[in-house]
Amino acid sequence: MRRYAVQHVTTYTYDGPVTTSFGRTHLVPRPGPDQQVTNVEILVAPEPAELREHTDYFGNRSTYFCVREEHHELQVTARSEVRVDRSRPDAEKLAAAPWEDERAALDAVPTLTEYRLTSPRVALDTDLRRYARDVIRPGVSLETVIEDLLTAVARDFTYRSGVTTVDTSVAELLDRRAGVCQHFAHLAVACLRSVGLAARYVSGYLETFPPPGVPKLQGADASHAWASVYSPTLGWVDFDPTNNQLVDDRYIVVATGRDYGDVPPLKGVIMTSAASSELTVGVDVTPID
Amino acid sequence: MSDTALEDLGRQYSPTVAGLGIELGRSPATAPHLRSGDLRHDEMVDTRGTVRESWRGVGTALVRVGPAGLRDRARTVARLLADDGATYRAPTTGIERHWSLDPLPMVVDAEQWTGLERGLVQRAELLDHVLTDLYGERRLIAQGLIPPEVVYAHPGFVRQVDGVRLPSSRQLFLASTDLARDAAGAWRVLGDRTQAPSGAGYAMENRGVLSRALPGLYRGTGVHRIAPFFHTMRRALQRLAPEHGPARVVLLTPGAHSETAFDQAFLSSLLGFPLVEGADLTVRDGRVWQRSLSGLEPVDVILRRVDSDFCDPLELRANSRLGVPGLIEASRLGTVAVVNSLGSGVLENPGLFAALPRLCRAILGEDLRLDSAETFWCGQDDARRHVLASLDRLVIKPISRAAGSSVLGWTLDAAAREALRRRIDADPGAWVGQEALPMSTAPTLDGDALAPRPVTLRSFAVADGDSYELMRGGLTRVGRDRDSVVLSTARGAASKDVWVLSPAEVDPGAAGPARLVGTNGDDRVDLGPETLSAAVSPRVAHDLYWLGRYAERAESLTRLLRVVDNRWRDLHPAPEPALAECLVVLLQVLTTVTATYPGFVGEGSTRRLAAPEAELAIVIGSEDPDQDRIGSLAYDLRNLRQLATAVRDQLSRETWTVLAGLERGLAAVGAVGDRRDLDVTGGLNAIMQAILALSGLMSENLVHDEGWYLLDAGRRVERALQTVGLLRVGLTGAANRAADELVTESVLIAADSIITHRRRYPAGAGPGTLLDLLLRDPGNPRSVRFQRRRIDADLSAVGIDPVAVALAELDAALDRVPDPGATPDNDARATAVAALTTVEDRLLALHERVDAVHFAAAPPLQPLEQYAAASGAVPA
Repeated sequence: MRRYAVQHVTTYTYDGPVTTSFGRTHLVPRPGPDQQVTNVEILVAPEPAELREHTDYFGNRSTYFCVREEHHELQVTARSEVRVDRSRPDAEKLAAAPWEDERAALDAVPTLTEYRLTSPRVALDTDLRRYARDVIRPGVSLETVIEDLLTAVARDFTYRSGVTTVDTSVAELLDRRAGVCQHFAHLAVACLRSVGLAARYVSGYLETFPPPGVPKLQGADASHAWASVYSPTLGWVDFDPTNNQLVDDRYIVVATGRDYGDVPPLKGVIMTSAASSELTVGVDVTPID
Repeated sequence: MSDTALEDLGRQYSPTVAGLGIELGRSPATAPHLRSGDLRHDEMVDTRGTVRESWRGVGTALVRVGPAGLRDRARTVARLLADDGATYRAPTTGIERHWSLDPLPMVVDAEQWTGLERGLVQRAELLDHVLTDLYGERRLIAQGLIPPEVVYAHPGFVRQVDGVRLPSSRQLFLASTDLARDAAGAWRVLGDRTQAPSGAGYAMENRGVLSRALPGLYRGTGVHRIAPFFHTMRRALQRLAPEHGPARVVLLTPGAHSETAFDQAFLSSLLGFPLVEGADLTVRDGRVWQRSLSGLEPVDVILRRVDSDFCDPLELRANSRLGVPGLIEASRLGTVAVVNSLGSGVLENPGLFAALPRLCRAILGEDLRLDSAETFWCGQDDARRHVLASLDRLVIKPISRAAGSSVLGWTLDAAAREALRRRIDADPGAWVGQEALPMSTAPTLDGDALAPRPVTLRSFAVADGDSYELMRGGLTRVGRDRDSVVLSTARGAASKDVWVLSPAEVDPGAAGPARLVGTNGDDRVDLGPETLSAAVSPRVAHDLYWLGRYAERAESLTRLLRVVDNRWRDLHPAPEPALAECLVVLLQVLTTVTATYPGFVGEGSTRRLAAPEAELAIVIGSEDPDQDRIGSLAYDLRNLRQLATAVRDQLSRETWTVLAGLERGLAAVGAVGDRRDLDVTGGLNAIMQAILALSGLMSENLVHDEGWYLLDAGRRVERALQTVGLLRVGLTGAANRAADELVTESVLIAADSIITHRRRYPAGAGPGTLLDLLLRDPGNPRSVRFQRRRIDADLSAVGIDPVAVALAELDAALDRVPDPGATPDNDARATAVAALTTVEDRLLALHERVDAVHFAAAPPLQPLEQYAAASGAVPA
């Protein structure tokens, strides 16, 4: 069991006045059997005229806000405390049957079909299918499938920021062989779906550490993303292709969906004639003893 | 009418029907449904060629009027449609064309209709259950009654509106269905329209036009009225308001450039609810408001014609300019009812067809009454194999209309068929194959002859309390050729009015109380009392203001052109130098006031003045809108029409008759082209008459609300500008004294003040009398001072404070115009002309102020930049 204080600050600075900002966020960690969320705070500056929360289609906590005061800077701060009580999935159960048998069992749960189809950011084209066929071998267990996927991503792709954007597709990632966690998560989800398994995208946080002897800087963490595959015996099993490991209690789940497009931390529309804006994001995941 | 005549009609018509079934080998490939050799069902005649009982009325009328009479009726229909401004804009080309209506109705007898009605109401109820479930518990998916992929992979399934409910027992508000007959004559479903069904307005327009074009036949036939459908719809919309009290209902349109803009605007006026665009609405405090000049008005119900995906840029397509950010949030809060509910497009899904019989038994406990054309969803292996093996016989459709249009398998060559096969294989769940129905034929006017043409029927149902009310009529589309398979207006299909016969013993008039309001012949829509003030949004106010300006500009230009035409015709028999000089001055004025350069000024003007016909023809305008020079009469009139289209719901129906008259006048002068014997007098007179009629409509037939005051302000500002322009010409005059007199007289004619002037100033005209009558006279409705007073009154009605300074500066400029005296020298004239230029500047400044104060659009919407989840650190 671990406890964390999370702070996620997003700041937009504009070169002209903005009269109104509408926003929708997925910034509050979703509650579940393996994590408890308390002391939630969403602060919007300037003071929003409206701020409301509801639980969305995917079971995530989602916040709507609207700022009507004219502004040149918009800042959205989300804070919460999360108690994570998550153990690694039962390896024995995960290794019990070939994945094809697990796949067959999915047919009995029609609502899971949602996670077995293409979605706007997870296209299943020929190149992806070929890649997935090489990685996901027939007859192995779901545990091996996850392991092979983790190994393949670590072997074939380089983590590099700045070479991709939020809209980079799986096909482009396959082409460039470099990207960030969001794209690796999409790739893993795509591989699993291409063979008929149910997989979803998870957005969240991961506690990080600076190199030895270097103090941790304010805002040095980032929002993270990983993949999850459905096991008929265990339910959703999360794994982190970026860090080549299964997800444990150092991970905080914020939201899950078919892909990034269902759960962006923040999206919005603004009324402005401003030509450009600057964006900064800072995340702090601080352990509470 | 003897039965023999009817038999003759049947005999003459029926061989062409029989011919349909056996004609083979049409390129590129013959449609499979016509290959069988079977007879298709014909609506009017049976297989023996006898006119059916239900068509005897129409058949008798056909015999009576004969081919020539029918052509006359067709011309009447076309003219009435043009008079109403009934148009359709082709989605691919963007070209607006007249709505096309066949003069012969589609007749459906009472017994047949009863069956259809039961089937269609049942279908609406069934689809309503499905819709309610898909955005609620989704048990139909969990229970395996609906293949999950048909919903989850459909782009019309909008997850963001999960759980949003209308305050009604029915979640599907409008349900439309496209139907056609099979070879046996049974009606079968081709597709459902549940996103934002179009066509009810066109159906009402068709009824209005046909009841006027064939009044005797219409009255004598015993046809169900369709107006009650709109009454029910109006009442049902008002009942959707979340709170009690008068409900503000609006019709959300994608705008005047939408394909079915006419349908939307006409529906809005039938219902008596304003037409709004996304930018006219805003969400604050958790609810939707309509912007108006005097603030915000709450909106309770939105009837939308914008597809779901475009309705809320915050949650859906971020780059949509047609929606309202926060609309989904307000819907979720239940402060506004949006119909059809966002996400209802998921039901426009032929992938559902195969599941419907089972769903109907499971949900309603009864058998599905209406079969669809046999449809195979490729998400199932057997069905996919069948479709792939039968590509040359089926109509291939994506399950989402957004993904593209239908493909007729038999028209594809081998390569195209292979490409389609690959597309289906790549994503089988996204496709269905549908059998091609033979479709029935109905007698249709084709050139000079009556020909059997395939028909489809679109029905319209509206949720009314717990059940559905069906329009007792509909919209029939007619194929252009006898083997047309896809009958869509976008592909050029014409329409027919649908006449549902009431049972013989029932007097159709007894179905409801006679209503005396409206102009649709016998079938009228009574709007009932208005309970809410009309909120005029800045966009509408802007368009009305410019409508006023363009109407006035067109009038001024027409008057000036008439003077030029007059002088030009005088010059031919009597080429006096003074007259020639006057004409030169007028031609140059024509160029400068319209800014249709090069015109008659600058380099090469000597040559163009010597032979002005070509240049004059340009100032009037060409037949091709793309060739219109900016500032030409055609350009002004086209702008006038566009603005009227954009605010159609604000204008009276007669406006369109007048605008059609303008168009005919313009066609008359435009057709003259640049022939040497430029003869435009008649055309200009026709245009002038129409413009005067328009002025009359504007002042007498519109309610004087905020919008009207701005329309009038636009007219006044423009007239003041035009009069100042004419005054400058009059004061500048001409070098030669005789010419000068002619110029002054011309100015007075163009300013419609010559008679008053002759009466008031018997000594003759001069700069002083011109200024007296056209600038200062407060009683002359053409004078600048008169316009100034009206502007004051108009702007007072919408808030004058913000423009007070601009008005004061205009007054000061007016006061500074000197009187050049009875026999002015050139300096005095020049001083007065300079002062008039200042007046013009002040008028333009006033215009800019009005524009900034009243028409200020909200700043453009931009999506916020999104960021990727970008953590990469390896945990310790």
